[in-house]
Amino acid sequence: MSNKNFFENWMETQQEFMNNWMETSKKMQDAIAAGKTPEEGTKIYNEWLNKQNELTRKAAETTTGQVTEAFKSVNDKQKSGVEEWSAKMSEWMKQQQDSYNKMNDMFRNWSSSFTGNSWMNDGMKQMEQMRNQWMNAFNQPTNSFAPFMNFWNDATTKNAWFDMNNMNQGYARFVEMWQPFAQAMTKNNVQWDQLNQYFRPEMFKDMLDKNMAFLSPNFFNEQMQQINHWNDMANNYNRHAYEQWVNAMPENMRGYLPQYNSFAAPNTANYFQKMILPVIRLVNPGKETEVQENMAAVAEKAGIAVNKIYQFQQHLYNTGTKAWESFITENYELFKNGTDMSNTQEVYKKWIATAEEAYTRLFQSDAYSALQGELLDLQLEIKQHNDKVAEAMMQNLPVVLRSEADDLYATIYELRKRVYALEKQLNGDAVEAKEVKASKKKAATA
Amino acid sequence: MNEKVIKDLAEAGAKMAKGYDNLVNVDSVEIGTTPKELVHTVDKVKLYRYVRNTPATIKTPLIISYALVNRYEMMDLQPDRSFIANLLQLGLDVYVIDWGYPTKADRYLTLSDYVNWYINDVVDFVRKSHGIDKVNLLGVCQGGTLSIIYSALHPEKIKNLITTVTPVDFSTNDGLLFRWSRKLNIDRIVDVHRNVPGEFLNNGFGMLKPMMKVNKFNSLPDLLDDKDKMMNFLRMEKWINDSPDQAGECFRQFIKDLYQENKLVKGELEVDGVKVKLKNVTMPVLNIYATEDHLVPPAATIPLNDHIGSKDHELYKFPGGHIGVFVGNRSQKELAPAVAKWLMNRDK
Repeated sequence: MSNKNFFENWMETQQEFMNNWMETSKKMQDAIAAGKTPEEGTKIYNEWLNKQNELTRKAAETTTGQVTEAFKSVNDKQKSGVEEWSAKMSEWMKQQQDSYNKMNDMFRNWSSSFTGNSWMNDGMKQMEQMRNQWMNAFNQPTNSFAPFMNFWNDATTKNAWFDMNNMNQGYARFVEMWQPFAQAMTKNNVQWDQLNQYFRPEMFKDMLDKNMAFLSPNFFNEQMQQINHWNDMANNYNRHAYEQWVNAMPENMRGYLPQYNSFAAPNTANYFQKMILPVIRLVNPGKETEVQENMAAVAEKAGIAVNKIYQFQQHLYNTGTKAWESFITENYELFKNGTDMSNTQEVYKKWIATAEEAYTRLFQSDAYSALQGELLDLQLEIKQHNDKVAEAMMQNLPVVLRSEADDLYATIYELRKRVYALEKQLNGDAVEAKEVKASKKKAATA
Repeated sequence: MNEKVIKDLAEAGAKMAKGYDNLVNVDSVEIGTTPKELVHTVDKVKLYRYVRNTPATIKTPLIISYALVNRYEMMDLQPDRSFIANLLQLGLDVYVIDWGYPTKADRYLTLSDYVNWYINDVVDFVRKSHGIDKVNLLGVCQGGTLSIIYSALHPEKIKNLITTVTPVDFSTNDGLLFRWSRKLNIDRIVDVHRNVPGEFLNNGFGMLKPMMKVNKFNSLPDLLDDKDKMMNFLRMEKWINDSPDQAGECFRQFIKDLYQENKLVKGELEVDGVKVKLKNVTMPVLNIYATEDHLVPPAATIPLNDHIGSKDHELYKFPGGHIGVFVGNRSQKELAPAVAKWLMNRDK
């Protein structure tokens, strides 16, 4: 058994996959340049495929053994994590295999249809697509790094691993975004009017989301899911009281924003119509109006909030896109003046600095501060209405409501202060001074 | 995609692979390890005294009041980066207030409670246990603002006041926190959350330097080969992520009266119905600020010296950031010696 850990072996295999691809790519280029026959291409392909199959087989073989070996020292508590991770790795290997199958199909289509000219015209494009397949395959296990957090008990190392993994994926996205520009610059083939074709919005968005997780749409989506979850519960609360309103609801909600209509209104209506029986037991007669009013307020505020979230995200992505444009332009100027751009990590650092400056400028604007404040307030207002619905629903249940707990906390707070004041009056500081003397003595002898 | 780019990507992955081995061997990440003793509690607040092996050469004990946001261990992050260990070495008798982790039952604690109940209680405790009238008080960030308010209300109990990276004039536009807080509906935040979650605040702090986290974790794989550097990184991470919730009522008043209405320098802040007059701060004051502070910019800290009644006041400019002032390499050589020297000259 080699001394390398699983990751090192995995990286080595990936490197071999890539070397194989590059070797093949070079042979293809030579074949095209030499105007060789399609048969030559098939021979090259077969060589590539055989080698790739061998590498895949080897990687698959080592995966199971290596995982077991690498984690043989884990304790029982961690076993479930290992199992979970193993399952993910198996899945990844399968995806890897699928990826090669796709490549295989691609090549078959390619070689069956090409003529001498299509070789020249399409050959390298096809190779580039194979490269993309590899890139996808590469990202799969990178995503699978996350379950490794389960092997640590210390929360700080867990978080560090998670964040490092996330940022590494952000870096991979950056490389994918950057490389077409770098290539064009190296070939002295930059045509500004065509640069937009290199820009891949989805990839760019993914990179920003990974870099700025706290502002990403996922963050807001989670919040909206919570709202929907509450809607779900509240809407199932009393079908008799709301049936009429429910039936009319999709129609009534047409006036709201299209974004809201697109998911919330039909969902809400759907929740109403499900009418989960057990929840009906929560009926609290006399509270219908209160619940209905709060639900209506939630619907109204959620509609506005969705609109604000869109505005907010628009600010973020627009800022990112503009920063990217200026980053590309500045780097092209530097390149023309002879600056070495071969160190991708250094280029990435420049991108980070450019983005930092752009976002700080955005955050400093009054418009941003106002929108952020407004959005936060809306989200909290929705929560406030939902809390009221929850209280109205649960009032007859044997549970302590939040407002009741608040009263209790207020009493406890007052009592704590009074007890403190009484202790001061009754005991003075004599007891405390005695304790201190003892601790001073201990400290001095420590 | 050229070969160089592929190599770069592969190298980034390989560094993560190596890092895994080092990270998995970390049992736990410890901070705040300088020996200390719990000497007093008031309500849920604890007072620790750091253990000295020799008698203190500066007789007046020093009480440190850290911010309610995050934890005091930042001043004792690791043995070779410890403001507190340095102060001990320089002959000080050091106490630190541990504010603890407010629970829902603490949501009604007010600014007055922190100042007139907790700080006042620990100050009285130290005064009595040492048999002295006055103590030295050092406040950090928000803890510095609380210390100033306390010193203005109880000047007879404070011998010397040291403020570090402490906001006083909240009218500045230099810091994002100051801009953003003016647009917040703080009543809603407190009414809904009760206690303001530490995570909410940490998100806000993260946005002050939006790409800092990317930079930090992008460079982490390079540190993982060096165990010392890796542990330094992890200790800081542990501290950053340890962010207590804020007692709701205190937070409400702090944001409204200070960030939004700047009442402290206007002389309009009221604590327990008493107006806080900065002119009552008549004891010697050392005001330490950091030139690159993005959380509490110099424009918010420097004006203190213009508003207080003290004739013996000094501004100390430290080149660095809000945290670097305590944990940076330069700080280990400069900050504690400057504080000790200043206190020594006034320890009569």
